[in-house]
Amino acid sequence: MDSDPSGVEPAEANGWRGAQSRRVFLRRGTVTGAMVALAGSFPALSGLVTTAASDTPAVEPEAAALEGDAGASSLAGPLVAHVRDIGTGEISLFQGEQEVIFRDPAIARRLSSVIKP
Amino acid sequence: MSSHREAPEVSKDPVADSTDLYAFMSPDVAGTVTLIANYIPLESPDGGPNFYEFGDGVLYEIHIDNTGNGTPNISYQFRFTTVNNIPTSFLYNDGPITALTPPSPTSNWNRQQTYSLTRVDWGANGQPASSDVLGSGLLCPPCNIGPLSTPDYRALAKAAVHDVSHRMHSAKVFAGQRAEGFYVDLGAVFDLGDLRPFAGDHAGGPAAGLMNGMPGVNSTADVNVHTLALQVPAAELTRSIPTGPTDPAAVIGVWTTASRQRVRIAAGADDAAGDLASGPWTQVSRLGNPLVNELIIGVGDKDRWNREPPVADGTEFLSYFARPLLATLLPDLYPGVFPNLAAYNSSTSNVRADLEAILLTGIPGGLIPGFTNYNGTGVQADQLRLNTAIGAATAPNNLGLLGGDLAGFPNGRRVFDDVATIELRAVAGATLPLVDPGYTADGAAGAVSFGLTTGGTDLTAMGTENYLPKFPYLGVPYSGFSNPSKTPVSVGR
Repeated sequence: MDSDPSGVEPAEANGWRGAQSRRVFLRRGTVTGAMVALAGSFPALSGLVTTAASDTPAVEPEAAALEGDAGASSLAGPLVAHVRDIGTGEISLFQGEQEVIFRDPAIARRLSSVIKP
Repeated sequence: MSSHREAPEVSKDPVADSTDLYAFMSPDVAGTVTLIANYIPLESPDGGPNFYEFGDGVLYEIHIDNTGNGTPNISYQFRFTTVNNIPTSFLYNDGPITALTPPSPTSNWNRQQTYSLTRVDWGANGQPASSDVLGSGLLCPPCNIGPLSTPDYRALAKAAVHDVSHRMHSAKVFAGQRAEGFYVDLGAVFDLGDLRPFAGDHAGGPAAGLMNGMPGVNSTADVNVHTLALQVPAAELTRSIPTGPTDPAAVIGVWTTASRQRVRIAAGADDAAGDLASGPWTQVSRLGNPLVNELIIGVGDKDRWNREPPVADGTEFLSYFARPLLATLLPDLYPGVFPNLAAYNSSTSNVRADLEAILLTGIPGGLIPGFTNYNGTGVQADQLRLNTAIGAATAPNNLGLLGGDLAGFPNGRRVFDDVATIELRAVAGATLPLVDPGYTADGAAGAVSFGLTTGGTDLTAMGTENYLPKFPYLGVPYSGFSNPSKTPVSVGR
């Protein structure tokens, strides 16, 4: 995952201090990169992301630009998304020993729509 | 118990449940500090075939605050890896374990653990300034199974003591099963605060047929724990070389934590890789002074207390220390026995500055002749504070400072210190005159005990007579063959 100087705190895996300030937010571009990685790790969501890109022009260009992104494709291990609040679109992404939090109501709504009966 | 099963959530996660923490000047290696953090409460020695082990998914840490600001300057991190040497066997071992060797498919020992030890030095910005892997692939001993499986257990344990170093840091380290060293009468104290030697004075004692003079029962005799033990030169722990016992640089604050990654997904039938853990480490267990979360913090806050850093004690949890519930219960449970404490409690303006000093800041100079373990800042945080400029006692007293032994609890904590009695007496008012010269402690405050020692110089503690005179100081674990679970004798059963 791309590191964002304005949002991702460094070395947060090393001990408890990181736990006290790890709720950080990402810039838009990094948000989209994370979404691509999400699709790669969860085949069931691949269609969702594709749909999101086509249905949401604001997201699609960035997603397309990042499909070949080396940072996203080099993720080792699963990526876990926790939609903390569907209304505000606050989503936590977990990978390795990292957690990043971003806000995107559109992604949150689309993810929630998958789980609905 | 000291911190065994002390909070609702962690009681369901025993491998992450810290039980006791010790910090003392090593009596046999001058100039070194021994740090011991125990985990996994109340191990029944015969609890096979899956005998006890550390958690691979748990980050175990022992923290040092050497500046008195309540946050760590140094953290020692333990990370474990478990292998099945013989995955087709249901047994812990397929033959005698006669030597401590690295994991191998040819080993008799099936379920084996190794670990790494990392020292992290934290910068002023709260981020790691340096991280030194002191050892990796370090071997744990097996559990003590019995004479057929672990015929020379002492030799196996001795081989599991490792000398490690990297750059300017060094340590002696051990991680594995040990005999429980803490002692207390659980069955009595959790039966509405009964103390068997004084049961006749309990409000409900006579009606229940209880009387004074009943012998205490050591509830933690014959059980084991899993121990993380370090022996480190004091100079590698203090912020500078102290000039003497009154130099604030001599005091270190110690606590242990266990953390798990924030996300856990249980494996489904098709998940060959097993459970998934992901995300940053989040603290699930904390322990500084004995019995704090156990007897000071209210049950509704215990889980949150375990998640919080020590500095939260001076803000979010201070009321528990200032007016502990146990101090108000004692006069009710033992009518007429603690009249001075009852009178003190009756004033809402009275707070327990003595307990705040003992547990949260260390004891300032001038209160006890020749002694201080004050952190130098007044920052309130539950840490076990050790004055490293006070050497090990040549004639120790299990009542520590209350017994006139400046090298004992609450100046750090040694394996044989009777911390349950010390804290009970302190809560009962024995230490209040230190900060309030106008207060006269009740006679009972200096006499109450759990009845598990014959006196201050008894360093054996009923049922825990196998303390070792050298590292790792806690005794050889009870073997499963020789020590099946026992139920302590209780009245009426």
